[in-house]
Amino acid sequence: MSNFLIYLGIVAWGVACWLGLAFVTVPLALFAISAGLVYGAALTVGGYLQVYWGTEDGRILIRPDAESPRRPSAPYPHWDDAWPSYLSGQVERDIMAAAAWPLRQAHGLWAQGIDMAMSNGLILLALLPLAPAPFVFLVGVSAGTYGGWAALAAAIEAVTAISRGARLSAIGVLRAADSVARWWHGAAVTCPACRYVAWLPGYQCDQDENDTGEDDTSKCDTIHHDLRPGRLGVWIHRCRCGKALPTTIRRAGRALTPVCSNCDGPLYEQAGLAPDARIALSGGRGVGKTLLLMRAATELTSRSRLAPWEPGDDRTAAWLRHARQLLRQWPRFGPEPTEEPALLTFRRNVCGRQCYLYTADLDGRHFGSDKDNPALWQLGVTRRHLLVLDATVVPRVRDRIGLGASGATPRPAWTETSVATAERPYRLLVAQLGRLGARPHKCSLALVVTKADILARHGAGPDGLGLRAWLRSVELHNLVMAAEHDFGRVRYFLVGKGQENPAEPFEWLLSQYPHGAARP
Amino acid sequence: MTRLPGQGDLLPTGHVVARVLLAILVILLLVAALVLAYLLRSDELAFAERISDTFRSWLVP
Repeated sequence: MSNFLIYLGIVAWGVACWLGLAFVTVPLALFAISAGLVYGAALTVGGYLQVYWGTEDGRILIRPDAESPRRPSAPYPHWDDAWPSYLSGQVERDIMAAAAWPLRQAHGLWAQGIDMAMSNGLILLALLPLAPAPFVFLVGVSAGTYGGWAALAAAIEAVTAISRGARLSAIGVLRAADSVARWWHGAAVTCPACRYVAWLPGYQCDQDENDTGEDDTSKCDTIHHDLRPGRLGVWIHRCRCGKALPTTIRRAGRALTPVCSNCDGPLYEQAGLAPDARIALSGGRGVGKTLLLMRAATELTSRSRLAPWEPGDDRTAAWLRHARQLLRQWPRFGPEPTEEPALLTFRRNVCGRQCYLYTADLDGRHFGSDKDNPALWQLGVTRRHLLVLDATVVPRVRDRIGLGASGATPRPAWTETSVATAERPYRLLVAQLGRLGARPHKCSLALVVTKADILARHGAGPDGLGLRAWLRSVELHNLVMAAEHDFGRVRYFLVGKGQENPAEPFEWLLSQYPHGAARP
Repeated sequence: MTRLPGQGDLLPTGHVVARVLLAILVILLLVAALVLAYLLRSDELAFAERISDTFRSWLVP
């Protein structure tokens, strides 16, 4: 009897299950999966809103990082200490973080469901037609979470893609406008202290730390090396301290203090926009570089000129006073041999715009050896070169000077050695340019023959002959040919006391490359 | 810089503005999905009914 009852119960349970499956399970499962999808989608929306509320910021925020590396071709190896703009990666971090909370909730539901199923196996078996509903609900929650997150991520990316396109266009336009203005003016950034020629001027943040709520009143003083529109912002960069810094050199130059990216020293106003010329003097020892520079500087700063140059700093002013004093005493007292390079800065105002001229008088002993010489690094940062040549060391000239007294014929060996000596500074100049990565064919060379007064006194000068032809006639044809082959533009000058204008080579070099890149 | 409610960090204003706009976008998309589901409810019900009927026809000849 009892067996019969058990059998009857099993049959009744089977029939109930069959009816349940036929009339309850499917509608219930469809309802459960719909509810799960809606719940999962609601969780996803909650996840996004939590992130946008800032609850995940401690973990996901891209903060200013001055150690963050840039690509190798960038002008500076690290990013500035400023906040990256929202479209520079933060939007993706937000999207990824938005998945975290809803997925945690969905996984929690799964864990609870599995626990309940494991601990209530008999009940589950008894109510078998109802068992699929919780399962499909959980499947719906997971599908709704993942699907909702992916759909919202795609929608957000699509919207930000429009913003990114607009941002990229704005960056291109602003950078181009900045670069064209700098190219047109032949602008560069030369540090008056260390002579480093930077790609771009740095700018110092002048925000009072007090403004950020701290007690001390010191300045932020963070240096921003690259304020071009880009990853850190299009119209402004946001310093770590919170100050908004205008982008583009034109706008930054009006609001901030420009500083050297190498030594952090202050630069002149309009750095990076003002015409900025550097003239590198080359030449062996005792050829008259310092004397030429003193006379040329005196002439260039003469008040009688239409647009005279003036000393750009106190050091140059002191050097100029000393030069004028020496020139008044010359030739009784001449300049001492240069030991430390005299770094001179001149400036003048042309049509309301400041122009700057930098020149350095290097010790002639640096041009005596073919070895790579770090002291000559300044040769590689300018397109304007001035090579000083002492014509009296050229054998044929020396012979003509000496023939008046002795009439002797020079020895060939002595002749070769002396020509090589005369040409060595030029060879060294070209070799040094090659080592520094500069391209001589992008440069101008003023080849200045000094001591014209001595040549004239002995009748050994070019006289009616052109200077170029005269140089060729005194066995310097190799030098002439090499210079005209290597350099883009070459011009010859003859200077000496009472002969020619000593500033003429400088003026010619300054007239070269009024537009274009400042570095070779 | 702007402080988000409940947060200690000061955020660039641009970040906050972008997040507010994206939050509005998310809410609008959710509302749009609900409206769409409401508009399509008769089709969905018909679809569910068809599935139920098919399954039932297998079990109840």
